[in-house]
Amino acid sequence: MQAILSKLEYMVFRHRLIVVVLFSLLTAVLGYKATHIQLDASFNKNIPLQHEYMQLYLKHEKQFGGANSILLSVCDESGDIFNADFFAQLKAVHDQLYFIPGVNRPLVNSIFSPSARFVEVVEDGFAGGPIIPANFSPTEQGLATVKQNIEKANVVGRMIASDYSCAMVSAQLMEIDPQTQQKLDTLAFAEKLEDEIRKPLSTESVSIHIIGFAKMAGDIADGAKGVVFFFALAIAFTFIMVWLFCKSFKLTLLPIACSFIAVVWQLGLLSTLGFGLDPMSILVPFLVFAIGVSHGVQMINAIGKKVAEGVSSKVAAQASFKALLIPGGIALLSDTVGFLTLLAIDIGIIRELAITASLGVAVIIFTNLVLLPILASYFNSSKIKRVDDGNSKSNKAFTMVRECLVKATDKKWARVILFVSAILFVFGYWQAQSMRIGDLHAGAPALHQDARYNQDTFLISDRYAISSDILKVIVEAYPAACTEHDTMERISRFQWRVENLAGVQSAVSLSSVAQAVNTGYNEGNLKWQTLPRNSASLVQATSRVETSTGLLNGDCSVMPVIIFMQDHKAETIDHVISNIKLFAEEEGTDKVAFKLASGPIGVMAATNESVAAAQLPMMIYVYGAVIILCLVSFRSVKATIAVVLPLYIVSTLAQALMVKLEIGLTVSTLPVIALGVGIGVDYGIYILSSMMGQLKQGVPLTAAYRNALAERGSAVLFTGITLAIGVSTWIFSALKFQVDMGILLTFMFLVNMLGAVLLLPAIGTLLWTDQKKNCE
Amino acid sequence: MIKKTIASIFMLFVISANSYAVPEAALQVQSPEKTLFTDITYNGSSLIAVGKHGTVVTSLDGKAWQQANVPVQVLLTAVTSLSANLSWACGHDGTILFSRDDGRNWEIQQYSPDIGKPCLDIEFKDADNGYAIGAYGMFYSTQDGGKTWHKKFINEFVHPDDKEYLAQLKEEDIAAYEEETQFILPHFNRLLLLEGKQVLVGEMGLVALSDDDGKSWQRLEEFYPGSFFTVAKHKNNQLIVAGLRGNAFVTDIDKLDFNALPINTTATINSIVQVGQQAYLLANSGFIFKYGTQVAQSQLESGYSVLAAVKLNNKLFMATEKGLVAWEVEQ
Repeated sequence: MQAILSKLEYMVFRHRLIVVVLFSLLTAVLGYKATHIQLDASFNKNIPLQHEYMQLYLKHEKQFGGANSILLSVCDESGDIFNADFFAQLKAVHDQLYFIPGVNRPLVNSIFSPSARFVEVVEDGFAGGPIIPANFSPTEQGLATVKQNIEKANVVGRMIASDYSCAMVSAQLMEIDPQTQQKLDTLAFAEKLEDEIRKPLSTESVSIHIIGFAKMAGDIADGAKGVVFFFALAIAFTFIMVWLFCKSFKLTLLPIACSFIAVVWQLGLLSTLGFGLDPMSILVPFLVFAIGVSHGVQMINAIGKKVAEGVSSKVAAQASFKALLIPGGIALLSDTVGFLTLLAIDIGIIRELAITASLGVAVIIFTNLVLLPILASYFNSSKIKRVDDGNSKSNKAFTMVRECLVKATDKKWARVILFVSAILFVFGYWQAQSMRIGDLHAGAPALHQDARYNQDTFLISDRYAISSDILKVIVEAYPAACTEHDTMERISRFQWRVENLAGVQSAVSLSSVAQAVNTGYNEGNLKWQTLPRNSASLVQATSRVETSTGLLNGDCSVMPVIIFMQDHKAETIDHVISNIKLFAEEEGTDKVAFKLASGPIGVMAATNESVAAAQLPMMIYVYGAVIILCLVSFRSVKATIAVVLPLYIVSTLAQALMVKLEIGLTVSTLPVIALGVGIGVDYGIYILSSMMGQLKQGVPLTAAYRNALAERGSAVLFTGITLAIGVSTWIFSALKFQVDMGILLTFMFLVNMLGAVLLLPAIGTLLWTDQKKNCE
Repeated sequence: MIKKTIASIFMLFVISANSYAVPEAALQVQSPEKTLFTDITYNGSSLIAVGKHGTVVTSLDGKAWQQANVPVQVLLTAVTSLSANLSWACGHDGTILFSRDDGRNWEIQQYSPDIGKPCLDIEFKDADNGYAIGAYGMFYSTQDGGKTWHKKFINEFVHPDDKEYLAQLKEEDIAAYEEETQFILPHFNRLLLLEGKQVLVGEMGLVALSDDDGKSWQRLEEFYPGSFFTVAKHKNNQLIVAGLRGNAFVTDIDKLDFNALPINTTATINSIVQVGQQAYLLANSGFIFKYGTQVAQSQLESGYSVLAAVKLNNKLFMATEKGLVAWEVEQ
C-alpha cells in the first residue's frame, strides 16, 4: 500500500505542471458543458415503473388516460359565475389550454367541451343537448339556460364549483407528443400555463387557480432557482470562516476553489451524460461543495501544520497528499459507493440522484485530494506559515477544547457519554418507528403552506367535490361483462364500500352511471336507481355510456372505478388502499378482478410502497459499503465499529427528527438518510485513521486521541460548525422542502461531528481496553 | 304444444333464476346515513329511513343514526310503521321485510328476484291488513300481517280491447296468461289509505279509487298523460296528486275535479308531507313547494333531490338522494 502511495505521490508531484494543465483543460471543457445543464422534471421519473400498480397503469394508460393531469379553476371574485365577463374568460382559458403543446386535446374538459352534455327526462322520453347551446350568447336569458343545463347535467362539484363561484377546465398531459415524438418539457409547460393563461386571462373579477404535477414541478423549479442565492451565501460564509481558520487568503482560496471546481465537474459530467438537474435534487451540488470543503480544510490544515514544522510548501503538500489520500479517499469512496447503491431503487428520480451525488463525490477525490495539494505546493511557504504559530489566542482556546474532548477517553466520562448516547439512541429508535411513508400534509409538501400552489389546492378541494387526488381501481373482466347483473352488482357493491371509507369523497363507475341511466329510463324516479336484473335492460342502461367517459373500454371487459379522495396524505392513502385490497379480495372472482391502481393516488400508493420496500435495502447497502471499505482500509473490526456505530446512532436520531418535523419518507426525502451517512463518515475516518497508526504502535488511547485531535481535530470541528451554519440559512428558503433539508443537514453536520469527537473515543475505551491497561 | 314447451322453458328459467338469487345481508358501513334514501317514517318512538344497498337506519332524535340489520342488499323503496313492534319495508326484487323491534332487525317476508319487479310502496291499515304495490301493476295484499302475501292482477286497468283475449288465455293456458300479464299494466307508484277509501296513483296518468279495500278499482279519466308519484290528503276534504316535471293537481275528494297547481318549475315531485294546513310537495333538485291555498317555492342549498320526509319537532327529516337532511319548518 505504502509503496503504491509513494509511487503515486512521485508521479503526481513530479509532473505537477502537466497535472495542473490537465485539470485546467478538463475544468474548461466541463465548465462549458455545465453551462448547458438544464432543470428537468418529468412525471414518469417520479414513478416506480416496475411496481405492480404502475404496470397496470401503463397497460391502461392509452385507454383511460394517465395520472398526469392539470386542473384550472376559473373563479369569479363576486362568487357567482353567471355573468358575461366570466364566460368570456372561461372560454378563453379552455381554448388556450387546448392549444398548449403537450395537452391531450380530446381530454380537455370543461362546460365548453363538446362532450359536456345534459340529459333530462320528459313525458315522452329523454331530451338533451350540449350544456352551452350552439346559439349561446351571454345574455341574462342565455346564462339562465346554461345554469339550468348545468343542473340537469349533474356536473356541479366537478365542472362547476359546488357554490357556483368557479368553473373547472381540466386536461391530461402526454409524456411523449405523438406528433413530434418529443418528450414533454414539464417546466416549459408550467411556464406556458403562467404566461399564456394565468397572466393574460386573469382580470380584476376573474382569478385562475392551477394545480397538477406540471404546475407543482414548475413552482418548485422557480423556488429552486433561489438556491443559487443560498449557494452564493454559503460560499461567502465558508470563505470567511476558512479565512478565520487559516488566516491566509491564498490558502483559503484553495478549498473553496477546488470544491467549486468539483461542482463544475459534476454539472459538466451530468450534462455530458445527458442528464438534467431535477428541481428536487438541486441541493446535491451544494452538498458536493460542502463535502469538498470538509476534505479541503483537512488538507490545508495538514499542509499548514507541516509548513509550521519548517518544511517547504512542496514537501508539506507532498506529505499531506500521502497522509490524507487514503483516509480521504476511503471516506469519499464510501460516499460514492453509498450513493451508487441508491441505483437499486427503481424510481427514476432516485436513480438520477444516485448518479448526480456519486459523480459529485467521486470528483472530489481528484479536485480536493490531488489538485489541492498540487496547487498548494506552488505557494510560498512563508505565506502559509501563519496557520499555526502556536501561540495565538484561538490556538489556546482550541487546546482547551481539545483537553475537554480528550476526557472522553477517561473511563468515567466515557461511561457518561455512552450512557447518554444509549438513551438518545433508544429514544430516537422508538421515535423513528413512527416514521410515516408518503406526504403528511395536503397540497404539495415541497412548497410552503401559504404558497400560491397550495392555496390553490385548498381552494379547489374546498369548492369542488373532486380534486386531483384521484385513485382508479381497474376492474378487469371478460368481454361484454357489463351486460351481466352479477358482475355489475359486484362493482356496485365494491364502489359502495369504498365510498364509505374515511378519506373518500365520492366515486364513479360504469355501474353507478348505469344505475343513473336506469333511473332516467324510469322517468328519473330515484326509486329505480339500481341495476336492472335482466340483461336486455342492463344493455340498454350501459350502452348509453360512451368509452370517452373513461368508464369502460370498447367491449366493456375493462371498467375503472374512479375514486375521488379528500387528500393524498400518507395515512389517507394507507387506509384506503389497505381496505381496497380487502374489498378486492372479497368482491373479486375468477372472472372479475379488481386491480390496483391508476390515477395520481395510484401512483403515490405505488411510490409509497416502493419507498417502504427500498428503505431497508438502502440502509443495508449504504452501511454495507461503509463497513467493507473501513474493514479493507483499517483492517480492524474494532476500528470499523468505532466509525460505524456513531454514524448509525446519528442517522437514527435524524429519522426521529424527521418524525418530529412531520417530514414523511418520500422519493425526495428517502436519499437524505444515505446523504447523512455520506456526510458523517468523513469525520470519523479522519480522526480514526490518525489514531490507528498510533494505536498499532502501542500508544495509549488517550494519547493517541489527543494527537489525532491536534493533527485533525480542529479541522473536524471547524468543518462541522461551518457547514452547519451554512446550511442553516436554508431555513429562509422559498421552498418548504429546502427548509426541511436545511434543518436535517444542519443536524447531521453538527451531530455527526459530535459523534466523531465524543462518541468515537468513548466507544474506543470499550474496544481498546487491554492496550490501555498494558500501557498504563 | 309449442306454447307448453315455451312455458316449461320459461318455468325452468324461473326456477334456475331462483336458485342463484340467494339474498345477501346488507353490509354495515361507516356512514350509512349518506346514501340514497327513498322513504322515511316515524312511528312515535323512532325515525326509520330506508334506501340503497339494503340500508335501513333508525334514530330516536334525528341526530344519531344507527344502521339496522337487514337480510338483503337491494334498493329499498318504501317503509311503513304502525308502532314500535310493527314495521314493514319493501324494495326491488319483490322484497318485503318486517321488523318487530322498532326497525333495528329485519326479516324477509317475501323475496323474489325472479319476477324482476320492484315493490314501490307498502301500506298497512292495521296489524293484519296491508298492501304492497309496485312496477307493472304489481299488487300484493295480506290479511295476516304479511306472513302470506297474495298476488292480485287488477283486471280493471287492462285496455278494453285486451280484456277478452286475456280472459280466454287464462282458461286455456295459465302459464301463457301469467307471462302476458306480467308487464301489461302501468307502474303503481303510491297507495293512499283513507277511511273507507283507497287511492292508487301511477304511470301514464293513473289515478284510481277503491271503496272496498282494494277488491275492485275504478280508474279516473286521464287528465294528465305523465306519471304520478304521490298522492296525499290535504286539509280535511282535499286530495293532491303530483308527479313528473312539477305537475300537481288538487281536488275536493267528493268532486274529483282536478285543478293544476301553479308550479313553474319542471322538477319531478316525489312525495307530499302535511304540516298542519300546509302541504309540502318535495321534488327533485331540492325543490320544495309549499301549498296552503297558494304555492310558495324554495330550494335546498345542496340541490339534493328529496324523495320523502316526515315531521318531528318542527323539523322535516328528509330522505334525499345523498342522505338524510333535517330541514327547519317555518311555522
